[in-house]
Amino acid sequence: MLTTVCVALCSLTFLLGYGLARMARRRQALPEPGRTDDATFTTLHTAAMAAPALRAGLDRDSARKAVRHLHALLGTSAVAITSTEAALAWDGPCTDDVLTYARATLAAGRAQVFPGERHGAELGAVVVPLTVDGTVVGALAAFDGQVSAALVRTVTEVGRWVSGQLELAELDSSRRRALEAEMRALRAQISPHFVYNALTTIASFVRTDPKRARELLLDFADFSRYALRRADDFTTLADELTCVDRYLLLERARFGDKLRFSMQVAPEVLPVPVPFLCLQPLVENAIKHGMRGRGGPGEVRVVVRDAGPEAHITVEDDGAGMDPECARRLLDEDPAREGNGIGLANVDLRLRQIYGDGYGLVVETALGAGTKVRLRVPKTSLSSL
Amino acid sequence: MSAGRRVVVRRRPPALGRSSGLSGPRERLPDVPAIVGLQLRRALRTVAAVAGLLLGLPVLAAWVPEPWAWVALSVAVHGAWVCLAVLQLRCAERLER
Amino acid sequence: MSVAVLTGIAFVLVLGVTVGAARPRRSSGVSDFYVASRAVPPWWNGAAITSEYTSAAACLGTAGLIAMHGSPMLWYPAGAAAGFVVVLALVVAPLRRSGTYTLPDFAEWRLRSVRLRRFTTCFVLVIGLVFLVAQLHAAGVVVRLLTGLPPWLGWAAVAVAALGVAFAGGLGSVTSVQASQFWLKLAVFVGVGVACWWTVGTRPVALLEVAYRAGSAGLAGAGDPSLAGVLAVLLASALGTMGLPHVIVRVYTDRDGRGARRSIVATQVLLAAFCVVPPLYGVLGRVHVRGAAADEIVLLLPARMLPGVLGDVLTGLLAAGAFAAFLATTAGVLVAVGGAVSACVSRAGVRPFRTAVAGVLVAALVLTAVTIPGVSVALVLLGFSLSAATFCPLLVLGIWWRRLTDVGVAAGFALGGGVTGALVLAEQAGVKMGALTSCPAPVAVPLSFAVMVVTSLVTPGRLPRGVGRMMVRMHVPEHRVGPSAYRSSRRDDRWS
Repeated sequence: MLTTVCVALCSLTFLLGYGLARMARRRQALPEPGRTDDATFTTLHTAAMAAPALRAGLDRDSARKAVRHLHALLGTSAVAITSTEAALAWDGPCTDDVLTYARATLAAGRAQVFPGERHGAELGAVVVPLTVDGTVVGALAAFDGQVSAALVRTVTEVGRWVSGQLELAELDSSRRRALEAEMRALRAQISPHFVYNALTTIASFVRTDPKRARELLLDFADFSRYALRRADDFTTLADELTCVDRYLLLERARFGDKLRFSMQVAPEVLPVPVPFLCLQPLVENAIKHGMRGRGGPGEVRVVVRDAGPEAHITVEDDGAGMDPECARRLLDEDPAREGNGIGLANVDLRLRQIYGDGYGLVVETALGAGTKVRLRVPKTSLSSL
Repeated sequence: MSAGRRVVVRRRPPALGRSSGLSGPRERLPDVPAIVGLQLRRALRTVAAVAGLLLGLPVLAAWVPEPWAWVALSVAVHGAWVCLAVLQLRCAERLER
Repeated sequence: MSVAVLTGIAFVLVLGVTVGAARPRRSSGVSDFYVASRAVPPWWNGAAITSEYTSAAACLGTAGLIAMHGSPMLWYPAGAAAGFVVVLALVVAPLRRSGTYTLPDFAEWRLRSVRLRRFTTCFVLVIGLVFLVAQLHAAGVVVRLLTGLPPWLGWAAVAVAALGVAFAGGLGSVTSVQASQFWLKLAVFVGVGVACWWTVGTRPVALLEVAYRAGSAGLAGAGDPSLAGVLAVLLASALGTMGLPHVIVRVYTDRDGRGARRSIVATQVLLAAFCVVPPLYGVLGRVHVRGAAADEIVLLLPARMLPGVLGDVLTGLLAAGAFAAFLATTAGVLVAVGGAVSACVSRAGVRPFRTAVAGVLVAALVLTAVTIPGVSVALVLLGFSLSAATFCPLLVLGIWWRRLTDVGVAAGFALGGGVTGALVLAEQAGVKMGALTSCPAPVAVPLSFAVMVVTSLVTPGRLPRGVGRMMVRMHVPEHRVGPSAYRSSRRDDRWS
């Protein structure tokens, strides 16, 4: 029965692995307090349950999730949340005509109290505004049999707390918007120099070799269709390589046989999602540095390998190389600067923003020794999904 | 024809806390629950066929105590899997067109 | 002695095929650029999947079981192959579209929970280890049986070669390594089998008695010749296929959901081509090889039937095929499990990946050293049962049901995995509870599904944000998402 041993060992390994994973996250045990204040705990706990939904902003979905907890927090017979236009969610015996109650509050921006009898309804109501940056964005309504001053105070405070959460949501959202705007600003633009060079090269063929010129123009059209798209921030490595191919066709027309190119790809990594235009700028850079100031031919080499959970890409040229200090400056320059198209710094910054600081570009270079740029892309990253 | 009162029209404020980027090309998306429903129905039909064959054949074979029949059946069932797979592939791709 | 030499040659042959196929695709001119950047075609990937799937159990174990326990075992290969129809119908295209690389990735993405990722990784590790131990043991058996050398030489050979493929495969194409090993395996096993069948005069099939009968079951119900026992095993293998880490990781190689589906259909066809192997060897072995262990029967067959040089050569060829099988599965499992574990421990880097691969391999070697070789099918079946009780519900519910929550999945994992482990351990400890519990799948799978559904319904607050977007991503075909103008152009879609 040594198979038993095997099964037992498997279970043991499992427990060991799980234990290790847990241990890494284990928190220090808190000392038990002498006397727990149950009421405080319950109130804070209920509020904490409502907070995540509210931190997502004010819409039907988040209101529905939050209103249950707010109902529990207030302990009235019904609670409703409205936006400026519609009742978003309610819990307890009240209908969607809460908006008729809320209207006065939404207009005045002040808490309103409706004692039940006077309005012909059994329930009285307290409606407080929800404000973000001084603007009324909705209302919180609590309905109960009798409206006491204590209830008004409580609802006002809860309303203020909800407003605070919504303000935090707005802050989250504006931070995200700022980040998106930054990404947009960083988003690839093709280099104007390249457009100019490509078009003059094509122009030089128009008389001598019209067929070639037409082919190149079509390649240029294909390249720009890809490079000028604005759909999303990710593409696949296969598409990115196709773009590099188009780009090289145009550069080859310009440099002729002086430009040699080789590529080596593990086909498994072709479907990996990569940031849009992360490879073409590196190739452009390699050609710029590889071909500059030399009479003979230059070679650019792209190698894409499969490294388990990541894809590793290197772009290498055998050109003049550069001073490592200069390379460092190149990586440090402000990527939003106009004029140079997408430089190394831009690609570097985008990679870091998407995958984390460990995934920046690595440049290996020295004077006269060529340049090699390495980048790594994880096969799955939640931001690309 | 009397002119009505002018009404001030402004751009609606975006929903709080939502990034504006999501509401762009949304309306182009097809009806997802419908797609899921159709594909799931198709997939379950295939799975039911597999389950029927997989659990039915060994039971049926118990009544045929013929060695050749058992060997032939156990090999032929692979043909059935291939047929089911091809059928499922074609249907799933047609549903996606 | 000649057999020993032939086995050595066989191993070298397999290595040669491996290294040859691993050559990277190069292109040096713009004209053949497309050769280098072309995605893996579905047929090729299908062959690689089949190669990793037809492990030692499929090549040696099933045939051995047929020879030992008789006709009821004929159904085992059918169950294993049926798993891919289920994968095709329920899992593959949405899983590929989700863009996740491993099962833990999928769990984290779909349920937005890092803790669940760790929990999933634990199960991936256990299933992977079970598979690795089965392969290593089988390699040891081959070496001991054919050369008389100690079995650890076989473990070491497979371990080193697989480590090489896992480390160096980065530059070349692992897919072509696996695919070429499949063709080698198919040619060898079918060829040698047909040669043996040809030379035998009598009709061995007639000697097969066909009936279910009560009998003792091995680990995880393997080799139970009763009807209920066979059906339980079939259920486990049909549902367990979708959760095997090395199969799921391959789906990522395809270009899109459509390509992934086609790969699975290709797998189905190639598996059907391979399916003659177990009955062929099993029936012959039942007649000609008596009194050997299950995993040895196939290897002993040619020498018993054709004494002399021809038998030795055929045995050497079989050894080559068997090594191809061990190598393919070991390398596949190592890469998949290593990737999952390293991503769980630390997010970045190839060094953690290599450390994880080496660690997993060492753990497998240690486990192999402290256990004795049993029936390889039994270990593989244990992996299948565990996967059916944990990953099958995760994938099926995660893909088709919006309301799944991380708490539900964790509860299902704990109960499904726990029940499986408990039943297997109880069976091993001598507690007999009937055929339906010796293979735990019929109990554990429905239980796991039920617990996941009920717990998810009870915890609606844990619903991950953005489920709608996930469903869109998984189910809407690529060509219908986004304006087609943004698609990058291909060479063949110019209108002139």
